[in-house]
Amino acid sequence: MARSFSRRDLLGNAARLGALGIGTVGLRASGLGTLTDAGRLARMLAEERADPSLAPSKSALASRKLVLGTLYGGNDGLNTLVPYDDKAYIAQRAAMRILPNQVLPIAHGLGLHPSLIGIKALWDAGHVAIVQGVGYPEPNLSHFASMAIWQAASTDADVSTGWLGRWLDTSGADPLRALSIGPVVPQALVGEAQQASALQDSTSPQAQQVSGSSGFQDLYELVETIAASRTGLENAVALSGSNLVKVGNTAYAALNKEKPLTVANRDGGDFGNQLSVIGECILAGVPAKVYQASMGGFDTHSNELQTQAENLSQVDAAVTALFNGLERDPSAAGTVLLLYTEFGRRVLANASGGTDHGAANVVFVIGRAVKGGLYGDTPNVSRLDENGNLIHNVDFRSVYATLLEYVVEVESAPLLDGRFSTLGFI
Amino acid sequence: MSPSERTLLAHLYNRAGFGATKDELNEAELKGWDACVEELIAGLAGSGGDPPPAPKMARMPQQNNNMYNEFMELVDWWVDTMVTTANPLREKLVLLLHNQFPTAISGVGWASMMYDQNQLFRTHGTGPFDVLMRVVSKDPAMMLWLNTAQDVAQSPNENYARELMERFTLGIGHYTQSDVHNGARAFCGWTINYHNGQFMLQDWAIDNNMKTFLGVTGDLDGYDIVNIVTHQPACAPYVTSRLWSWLAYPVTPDNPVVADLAPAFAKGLNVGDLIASMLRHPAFVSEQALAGLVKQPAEYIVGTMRRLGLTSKDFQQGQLDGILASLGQELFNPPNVGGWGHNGYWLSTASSLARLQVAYGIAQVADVSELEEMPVWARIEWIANHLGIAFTERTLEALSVMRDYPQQLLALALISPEYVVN
Repeated sequence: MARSFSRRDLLGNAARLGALGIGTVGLRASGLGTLTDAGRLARMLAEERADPSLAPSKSALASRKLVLGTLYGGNDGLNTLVPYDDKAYIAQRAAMRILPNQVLPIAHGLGLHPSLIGIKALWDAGHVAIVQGVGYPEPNLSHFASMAIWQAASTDADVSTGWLGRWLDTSGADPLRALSIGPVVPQALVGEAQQASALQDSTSPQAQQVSGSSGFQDLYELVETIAASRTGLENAVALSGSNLVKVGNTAYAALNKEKPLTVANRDGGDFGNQLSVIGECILAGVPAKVYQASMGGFDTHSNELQTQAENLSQVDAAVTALFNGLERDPSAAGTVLLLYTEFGRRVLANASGGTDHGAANVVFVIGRAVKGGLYGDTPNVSRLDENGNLIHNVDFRSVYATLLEYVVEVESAPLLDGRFSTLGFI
Repeated sequence: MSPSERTLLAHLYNRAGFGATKDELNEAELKGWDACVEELIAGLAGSGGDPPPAPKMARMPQQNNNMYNEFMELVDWWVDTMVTTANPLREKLVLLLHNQFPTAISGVGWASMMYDQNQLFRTHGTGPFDVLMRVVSKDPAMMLWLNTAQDVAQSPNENYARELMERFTLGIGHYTQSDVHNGARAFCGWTINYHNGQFMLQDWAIDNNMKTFLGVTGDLDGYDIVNIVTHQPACAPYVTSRLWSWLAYPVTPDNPVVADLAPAFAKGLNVGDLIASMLRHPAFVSEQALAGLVKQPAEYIVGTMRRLGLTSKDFQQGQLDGILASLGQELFNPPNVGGWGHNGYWLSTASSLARLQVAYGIAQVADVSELEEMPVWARIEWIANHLGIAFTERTLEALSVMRDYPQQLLALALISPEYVVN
């Protein structure tokens, strides 16, 4: 699978807003995008209707938030946290290896991929935990099966809910508890009866909630009244409609209040956009406990050096922008970001300058509340499994257990279907 | 004609096409269920002259510097094809095959290649399944997307062999990593001639050694692999379950309906016959089927455009693509080789918001003069008839608030749960 364009590559913000039927390039009717008195009134009403707990309270000062950064495709961990002196690494990766003078050194014989300059700075400040050798028994080399395992937190293929979806099932019904960016909510945040709310992948407040002609605002209110109908699916449609009003108003108010989080001269791409939406919500005091952003394009079967460098550069710019932005607000100090992917990659490079699917990988946990450092054992590049892949020594559910207990602040065992010991990174 | 027969016919045209207009439903009631089913099935073999002329697109070895605009036009072209087709079942199958073999322009890079793949589904989609898998495996867009074009004996690339079995033909659990590796070896040498963008066999890259694949040993090549997977016992149930999940309601390969339909497919390996057998199966009109699927965004948009007499000309350039993307189903650009999901997959708050905005936008573009001219009390019924649905009490209550405003009324109807669910 080659790298994917961000939707921004293909669309550009103006066209995208127009395509949604609002703003500059509206559908072939007039009046949709102009800001009339009715429009201004509608905006005011929206802000009023938004969640009144937007101002951070004292208890929020210590409140922790989990941000999931899902990287799709299988990011190559071996070229992310690089054992640059290791003879086996040098031999098997050959022309595809990262050189000693390229890495950003962080420990004896280990360095970060050169694109990760912002994360390196956060590492130096003690805010980055890197857990090494993360995986699960009997690694699955299928994208979908392995990602499903990570999202379900189970190697049982019949589990269709996610580890945080199951938390949503047991923690009430407020649609603002978990917010995912983009129209499709990943399995991790889907429970039996509930799922995270989804925000639009756009930093424009208007994209989250349309204001404009008063006729539309009326329509919007009526969505709330179309309720229980004949079938379960129709109920689901109705409920998603009424939730969207509350969530849309809240997101609109948050993005209206805050400015987008960016870093000068660096492009965080679509991932940066998503983390910016999340950061702005956090700064605005949106009460969500969990957020989710995602990025694809990591399935580097070919041309890996270039593709991964670009991908990691975007990730780094996005993460840097997020934490620089959150710096302004002490109540955002409890924000913890997890960067994870469905598997690592094959140690031996293929002939297309790429790698096939692998197993054990690194995860990054970043935030001011994090105890920075290396966790887990560095996998032995000379001792591989029967498919030529790195062997794990930390079960990924230990990472989840730690995040559930110390960030989401709930008991992990019922949600993970078993006890997994926590790690010390928080 | 009883309302419930009309409901069944509406269901038939929703699933075996993109929905019927009011006039089509009136005609269908006169013809009766059986005749309508047989007419749809006969249309599967409809002529290839049906789609409108293709947009202008660059082809290898030309420069490819207008890809974004070509892609926008290609989306418009495909939407128009589905909206105006005289063979809705065949066009529905093309959409389902795009979902069964998800290939994204983001990984392919050429609009013309995506067009060719789309035509391939149209030409080969209703015939023998092994032939379809052969042409899909040799399709340049697919070869670029899943790296077959870079699969060489010196270092086999496993991507295509894995997805061929995992997603396209067998499902997880019916092959091993060794089969993936040896399948990759068999496809070595299959590539693209970059002078003309066509399939080419590259001699030096071929793996001429013995391989064992799903129990068969020999100097196997890609053609052998396709032959072997399509005749595996797991293939017919898997493919049957995938297509039934899109036409009726989601099922796994061990479902009783699959047990009914798969054996004939395993024997004849004909996709058109399989689809026909699905429409004729009693479970197709079961209660579960009638309430079983949320419209995919493409179905939602195409169906709405059909019923309201709209084409891509009523939208700005790139607008249809933006609408589909905001709803979560950007045609020609699925998020990954897993394609799209069902039901709850489409019902996040973000896509609900997008649907609201889209509905309002469409209502402003549609011709509502007929609505405006008629008495206020008749409007809701007119809309229900035009959309081919029956509203519940709660929805009727909500709609009546908007009776005086035809556009808002239409928009509200378009986001009613009854219309959003097929």
